[in-house]
Order: sequence, then C-alpha cells, then structure tokens
Amino acid sequence: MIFDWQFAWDTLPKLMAALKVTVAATVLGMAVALALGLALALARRSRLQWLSWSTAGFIEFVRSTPLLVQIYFLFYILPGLGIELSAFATGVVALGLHYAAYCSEVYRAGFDGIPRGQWEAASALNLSRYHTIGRIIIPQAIPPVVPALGNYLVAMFKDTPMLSAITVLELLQTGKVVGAETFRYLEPLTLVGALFLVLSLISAAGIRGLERRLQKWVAQ
Amino acid sequence: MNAINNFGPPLLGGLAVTIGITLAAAVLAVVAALGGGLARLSYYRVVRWTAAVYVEVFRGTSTLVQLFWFYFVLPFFGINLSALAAGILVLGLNTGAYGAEVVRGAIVAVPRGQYDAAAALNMSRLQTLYRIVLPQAALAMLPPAGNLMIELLKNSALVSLITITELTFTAQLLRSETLRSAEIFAVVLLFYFLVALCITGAFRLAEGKLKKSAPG
Amino acid sequence: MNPIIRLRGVHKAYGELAVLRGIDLEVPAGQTVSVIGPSGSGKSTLLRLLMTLDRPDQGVLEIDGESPWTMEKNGSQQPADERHLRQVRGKVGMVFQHFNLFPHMSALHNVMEALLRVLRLPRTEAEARARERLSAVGLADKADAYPAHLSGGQKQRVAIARALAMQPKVMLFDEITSALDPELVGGILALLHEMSSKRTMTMVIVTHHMRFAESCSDRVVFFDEGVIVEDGAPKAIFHEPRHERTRRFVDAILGPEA
Repeated sequence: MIFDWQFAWDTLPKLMAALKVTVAATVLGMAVALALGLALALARRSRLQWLSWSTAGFIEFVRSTPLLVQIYFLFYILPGLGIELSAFATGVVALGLHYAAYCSEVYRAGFDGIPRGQWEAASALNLSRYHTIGRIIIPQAIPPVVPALGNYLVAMFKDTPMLSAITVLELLQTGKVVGAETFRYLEPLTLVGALFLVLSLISAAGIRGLERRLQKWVAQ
Repeated sequence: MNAINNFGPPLLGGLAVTIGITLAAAVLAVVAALGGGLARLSYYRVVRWTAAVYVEVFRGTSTLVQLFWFYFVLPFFGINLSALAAGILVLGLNTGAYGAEVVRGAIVAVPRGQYDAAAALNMSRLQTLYRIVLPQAALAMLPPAGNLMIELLKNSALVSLITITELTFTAQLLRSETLRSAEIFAVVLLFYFLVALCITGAFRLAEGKLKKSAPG
Repeated sequence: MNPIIRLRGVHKAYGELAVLRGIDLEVPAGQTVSVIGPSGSGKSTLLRLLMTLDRPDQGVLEIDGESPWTMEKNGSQQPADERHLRQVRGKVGMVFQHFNLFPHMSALHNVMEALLRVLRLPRTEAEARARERLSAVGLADKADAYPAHLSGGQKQRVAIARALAMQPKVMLFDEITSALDPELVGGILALLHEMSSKRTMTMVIVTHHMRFAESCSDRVVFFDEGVIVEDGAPKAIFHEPRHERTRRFVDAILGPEA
C-alpha cells in the first residue's frame, strides 16, 4: 500500500471546501466563546454571591465534561425547547459554550493581574462600577491575555471534527466520506491530519509572534 | 432522580468501560510523557528531534483525526488494531505528547545548582535524574498532570465514534431505544463531572502528600 | 612530591567571554589556598573546572596526577569515559555559594545520599557517618529538618557536612559566606579555620574575607581578568604586594595600611 499522490491531489479540492466549514465553525465559535466568556468572568466576579457561585459551578461543570457529550446534549435537547437550529449552528453554540468556560478563566487571570490601585483610583474619581470595569479594567486586562485566548482558538480549531458526530460536513467528516466512497482512507485522512497540523503550527507560530510583540508593547 | 433510576444501571456499565479506558490510556500517557519529555532533553540530536516530531504531530492535529487515522488508515499498512486498542493507543499517545511538554518544563525548571551539587557528590547521571531531578520536578508536574487527566477523561468520549461501548456510546444506544435524550445525556454529563471531581480530589491529595514529605 | 592540583596554560571561555586566560597553578597536598580577586575575575570558574563541572577549552588540568577529561587507553590519550571522569571527580568535593542542598531531603539524607549511592556504604554506616558529620558542624539536633526550615548558616553547615562526609582529598569552597547574613559569617569561617588547621585536606577557598584569607591560609592567589596576577604567602600579598593591581585591590577592601 503506497500513498497515491494523484488520488490525494484529486481529493484536495473537496477537502479545501470542507476546510471552509471548519474555519467558519472555529471563527463563529470563538466569537461566541469570547463574548460569553467575558460575561461569565464578570458574573464570576459579581458581588451577588448566588450569581458568583452558580457561575463558578457552571464553569467547572462545563470544563469537566466532554465537549462531544455537550454537543449531543444541545443537538437533542434544543429542538425540544422550541429552538430549531441547524447542525452547524448547534455545533457553533456548543463550541462557543465549552470554550467560553475556558476563556472566562483567562479573563479572570487578566482581571487578577490589574493592580488594586487601579480600582482604588477609579473609586477615588467616583466612577461607577460599570464605568470602572468597562473603561478602566477591561482595556487593561485583555491585551496581556490575548495569547492565552489565541491558544484556545487553536484548541477549538482542533476540536471542530467533533461536529462530524452531529452530521456537520466539516473537514474530517468529508475525509471520511471520501474514504468510504473510494475504500481508500489513507490519502484523505492523512491529508486531513496534515491540514490540521500545518494550520495549527502556523497559528501557534503566529501566537508566539503576537506574544513577543505584546511583551515589547507592555515593556514600553 | 427518576432518570438515574431508569438509566443508571446500563449507564454505569458504560461508565466502567470509560474509567477502564481512561486508566489504561493514563498508564500509557505517563510512560510516553516521561519518555518524550526526557528524550526532548537528550544529548543526541536524533533523539531530541524524534521526540519533537512526536510531540508536535500529536499536539498539532485533532484527537479525533488521530483516532480515525489509527483506526481506518493503519490497516492499509497491514496493522489491524481493534477499536479498543486504537482508542487506548491514541488517547495515551495524545495525552503523553502534552505530558511530555509538562515533564520537560518541570525538569528544565530544576535549578542548575542541583545538577552541580549532584555532580560534586560524584553521583552518576542516572542517579542525578532519579534521586535529585525527578523528585523535585514531580511536585511541579502534578497540577498540570491533573488537568491532563481530566482532558483525557473528556477525550475518552471520542472513542464512542469508533464503536466502543463506553459511557457516551451507551447513552446513544439508550437514546435510540427510548428517545429520552435530555434525561440520558444529563445523567451522562453528571457521571463525567463526578469522575472529574474524583480525579481533581485524588491529585490534590497526592500534591498534599508530596508537599508534606518534602516541604519547601 | 607530586602536586595534588596541577594546571598548565588553562583557558576557558563562555561563548565570547574569555573567563580564564592561561592559568598555571600547582597546589601541594595539604595546603590551604585562598583565591581572591574582583568579581568576574574567573575565581569561580577555576573552582568549576577543578570540580570537573566544566572542562577547560585548552591546557592541562590534573587532579592527583590524572586528567579527568582524558585517559590512557591502548598506549594513547583518549577522551575519558564516564567511569574515568567519576573516578577522578571522587577526589574532589565542593561547597557552593548558594548551598545547593536537595530541598526534597532532610539534612541527614542530604548527607547520606551520596554515601549510600556513590560510596555504597551500608545504610547503618552511612547514617552513623552522616550524624557524626552533622554533629561536627553543630547540627546534631537538625538532622531531620528539611532545608526550607533551616537558616542560611545552618544550610551552609549541612552543605559542608555533606561534602566532608565524602572524604575528598581536595575541598573547594566557592564564596560560601557571601549569601549569608553578616552575623552568621563568623561561625562558618571558624569552621573553615578549624578544618584548615588540621592540614589533612587540600583546600581551595574563594573568598572576599581578606582577614580570614590572611589568617588561615598557607598561600593566597590574586586573580584579575582571567589571569593569576600574584601568588604568594598571605603576608607578602597583603603587606608587600609586588603588583600595583594587587595593591589597589587589597587597599580597596582593607583600606590603605590596614
């Protein structure tokens, strides 16, 4: 059994088309994760103890349970609640929700990195809590944690194949379909793996570059 | 509570398989992490590079892609793994690749002076590694190892997609029989959460013990 | 008699930085030598080479007549194997500026570890020797304490006990008081003085304590910029230095006509 380059070459257009679905799921999922994660991080810091505790519990629960099961859960349960979403949209919500829990911890680290003096200065100027968080704390807390958020972007990208379990035709599922049609799994699945590898190595290098620039920027 | 009464027993069977797979993969992961982490610090360039390729490939591709590749592609090379063997192998090697970075980081963090002191006492390289470096690195490795163990537990759900009847797969079977998706998957999520709590607890305990036996 | 330490034309650079630039030094067995000089002059590097933690780029380095890095095999000089290196290394012991105690072992086990695993003493014998050495440095009651619970001075005593327990022919001391609080320095120096007065061991001491170097060494070596500027009896170095650089260094530390 040797690698059939011609067959691999013929398969590539299909895979590239599927890669668009994968990238779209990643980008949309990350948008959900960034927004929802910030909301969770703020709720976690809330002065209302019930809100802070239940948020902490929710984050812990989401982080400790498999994304695949969460995807199934949403996929089967949302229609029953009257929410009719496509498989792709359900997948995006699941990815976003799962990574929101991780992102909220990153934001939290960012908040914790803000010196107490900044809060005190804002109080001394009699700024409202809303204004303090929105205009003073968040703008300072986020830039240092951008690389950590970037790492989760890459992690989410690598988790998108799980959407194949609810019939989303993303990269892996497309590779599998090609394999099933032609009885040759070697080329399509190896290509899928190679595409993931190349894209995550490039992203990881990009994040390292960003990290270096951020350090310079912070140092200035 | 009704859901647990109805679906509990069959799901418990699946849970046992999940725990078994997770533990087997964890053993493999520890071996791979120690081997990979040490190899990345080897004197020999070939060994270092081989380990780097292992780590980058397993960290750079999707776990599910790896699983399918081992299950569907390896037979083309004449290697026929059972679903269970492929599942344990991929979960173990995948977690081991992340673990190798943990091991490497913890070893590199042991101060240079410790190596000097061991050399000044004329200890061999192997003695230095086992008696001086690894015990100190172990404490630094434990918390990230606990996190990796939970990631491993979560990833074990993926083997349901290559037909292993573990917790998630059992849930799918029950769902197609009863159509009570919400209850079933709620119970499944709860089971995973409880196991994760146990893992966290066990690692905290181990950390406490290790700290006590070597304060400072 | 052959010198126990012999260096001839030793050079050592770290990257671009030439730290030792041609060192010749012979130390007869039993002598106590103090090495002084400004920081960055190469004193610590000299000790690292003597301890065989680093190897010279050029020149000859022999401990008790043997080079740690080369060995005779089939009638010619070959690169040494690990066994040869450790055989030579076993003749030397070292106490470090920052103690370098093993944090995961009690004081007793810090001392016992190499006795058990390198010298392969039976456990009872190793423990007896370790306890005896800890008593000798005044720490009999701290045997079970971990380094994190010891003061700097106590840590340094454990480190001394640990090195001495191996009974090396040559002991190296690398600024062993400079990480200590001032009030603890005296005790450690007294311990060194006691060891050197027995004249059973060769001692090479890198130190900033000029009075100590003067009072308890047989010989003082002044280092500057990677070379030995002056080498002689303590009295000569401190009171009648032949070189201007030596005089300036001694004056700067002791004050003129001290």
